[in-house]
Amino acid sequence: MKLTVPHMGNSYIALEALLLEMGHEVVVPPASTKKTLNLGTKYSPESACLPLKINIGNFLEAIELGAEGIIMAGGSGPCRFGYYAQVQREILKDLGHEAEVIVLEPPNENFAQLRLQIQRLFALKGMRSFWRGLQLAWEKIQAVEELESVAHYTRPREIVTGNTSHLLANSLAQLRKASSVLDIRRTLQINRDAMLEMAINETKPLRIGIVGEIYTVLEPFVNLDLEERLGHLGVEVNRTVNLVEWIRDHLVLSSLRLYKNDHLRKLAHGYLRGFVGGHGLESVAHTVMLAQQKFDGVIHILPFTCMPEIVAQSVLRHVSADYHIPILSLVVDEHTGETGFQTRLEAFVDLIGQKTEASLNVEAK
Amino acid sequence: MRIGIPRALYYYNYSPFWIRFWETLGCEVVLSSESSKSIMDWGVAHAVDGTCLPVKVYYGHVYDLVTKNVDYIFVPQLISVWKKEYICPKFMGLPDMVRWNIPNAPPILAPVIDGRKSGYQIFCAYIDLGRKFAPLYKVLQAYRNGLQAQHQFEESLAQGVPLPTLLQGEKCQASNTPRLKLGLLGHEYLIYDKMISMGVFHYLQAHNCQVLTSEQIKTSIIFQHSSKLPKRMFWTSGRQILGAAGHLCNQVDGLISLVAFGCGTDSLTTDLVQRYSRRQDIPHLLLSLDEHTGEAGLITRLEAFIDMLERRILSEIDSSAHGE
Ligand code: SF4
Ligand code: SF4
Repeated sequence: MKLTVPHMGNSYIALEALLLEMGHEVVVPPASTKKTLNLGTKYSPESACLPLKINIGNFLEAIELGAEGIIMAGGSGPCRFGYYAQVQREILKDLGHEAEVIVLEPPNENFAQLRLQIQRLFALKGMRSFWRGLQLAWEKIQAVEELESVAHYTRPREIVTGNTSHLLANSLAQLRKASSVLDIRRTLQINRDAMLEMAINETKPLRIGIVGEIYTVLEPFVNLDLEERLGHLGVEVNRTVNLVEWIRDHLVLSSLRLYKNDHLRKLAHGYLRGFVGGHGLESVAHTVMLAQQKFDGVIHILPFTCMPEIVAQSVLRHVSADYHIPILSLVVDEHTGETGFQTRLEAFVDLIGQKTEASLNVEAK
Repeated sequence: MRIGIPRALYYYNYSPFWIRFWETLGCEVVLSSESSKSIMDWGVAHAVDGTCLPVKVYYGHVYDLVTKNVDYIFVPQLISVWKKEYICPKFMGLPDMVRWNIPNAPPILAPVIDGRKSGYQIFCAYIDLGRKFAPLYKVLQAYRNGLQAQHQFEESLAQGVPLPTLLQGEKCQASNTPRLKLGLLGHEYLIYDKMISMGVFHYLQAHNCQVLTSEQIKTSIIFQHSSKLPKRMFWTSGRQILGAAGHLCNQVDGLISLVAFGCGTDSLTTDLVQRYSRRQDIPHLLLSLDEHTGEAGLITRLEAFIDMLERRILSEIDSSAHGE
């Protein structure tokens, strides 16, 4: 059975490695484009949140390329993600597609089913290849995220605009091909050094932190290349959400019931009492953290009607007032236009630029 | 001591308990006024864009209580009222959202109601809350009285007494010879808030339709149907809606879903209801409600739906007569 996975940033690089190692044929959906979005919007419930729609677009495009099985994650609520796969299965069914949706539920939701699904996945080549695959995938995802954060650093410091993005794209392609841990590490090192070498512009860039719903933060098509745009406006980006942490906290530790969110609750104290699903608590806690670390501004990005992030957004304006840190909330949906988006980013960067300058002047006096 | 309770969201589910609980503790319960245009407008103006309509309306109700000079406003943090289930992320954030978005509000009483593991936590939360106002024996009594009121309420619902009759003493005339039998699906705080739903429930009753709703169905029956889903539904309201749809689909002429604009849970559950009814050829009408929905348009759609159902019944009678 040819398998596919939905896109979420560069996670496909790791997932592909895992599945290949286990002996499966993999169809990676074409990178999300306007066409993906149109397909997704056309066949998904109108009021569903954006990630569900893009997933559907990815699936349809992958099915066109021959995918027969779709791997999706499950969940136990409270936000919509845990029921995504159920609705998506029905959508595909109503469209007459026979592709099977294989849902990996968290162990505490349905352990028996999870075991069955995983057994099925490593039936071809056995347990050993599964471990090897996991190891490769973990190495790859770490390398991907390290390179991405190097890019955040170098973009505002590059001499020729666009060099970083170009190098990053190249190195990701190399990483995708890398087939051993050694290979991955070497690729990482070479490319990291090459990128850092370009960052010779001696400026002190503005620093902006990004918080928000994980899919939107990680998927450049959905966030309209937010990181790149900011980088090219001369901003150093700190993305507070990443996959490595998410896998560690929410896949590994919380399955073992070891995950605690006390540190987040402490940061968000006074604004939000605790978990509200998705990354709502993280968004608030990380904004406080960024403010404490004297970042110049925060961008909060969320899909229209995202439940946890609406809760976060409702209290974030007060974090902003209390800590004197500018926050820009960007709500994206299928109608978000590029021009308006860019204008808002530029205005925001201008604003915090002026603010920083003003405070520097005060300090100088 | 005057305790304010907003007449919105889970007021429609748990107010009998809440009111009796506070009254036994010797507090005066002040309800916010019934939903009105001005209440809704206030909420719409003060909530972030994209907030679902019922939460916006909730803000308006809290504000209404602020103007009523209460000592406390009761905004429980309802994480879960059923084992392993949630209500919705917004209920989990409600006390914080209220605190930060309603200026000049008196202190908020926000016990953490989290029944995911067991009902014992819920019991403890209310006891802790009550202890701030009265000695333990009194609090225990208040809890017991509250439960009693709640049980009575739920039993009457199960016997078919309409919810507005129980909560507001409204007379709801159900017809003896209804022309149609309809299932009305949606959150109680939509269906029975005449402002948000523009009186759909009352309209249907007034037009000689028998209206069946999920709170009249026994929990065991709801579960019997919801457990047929390929995956456990983790939202209490979603389980209620999907279970009711499964139960009602064979006994009604059509299903109507009321959905609030911006509601996350409904966006998925209602989509499933729609797909399942289509596959079984059960007429389904989806009414989406937002602050701009016009009553006239809504009524037109309802009328058209009712007409269609009646024609359908006639043609069925026709064809079966010819078939013989
Ligand atoms: S976090 Fe937001 S966008 Fe993601 S599934 Fe939940 S509600 Fe939808
Ligand atoms: S269930 Fe829907 S309508 Fe109710 S609070 Fe949650 S999002 Fe809003």
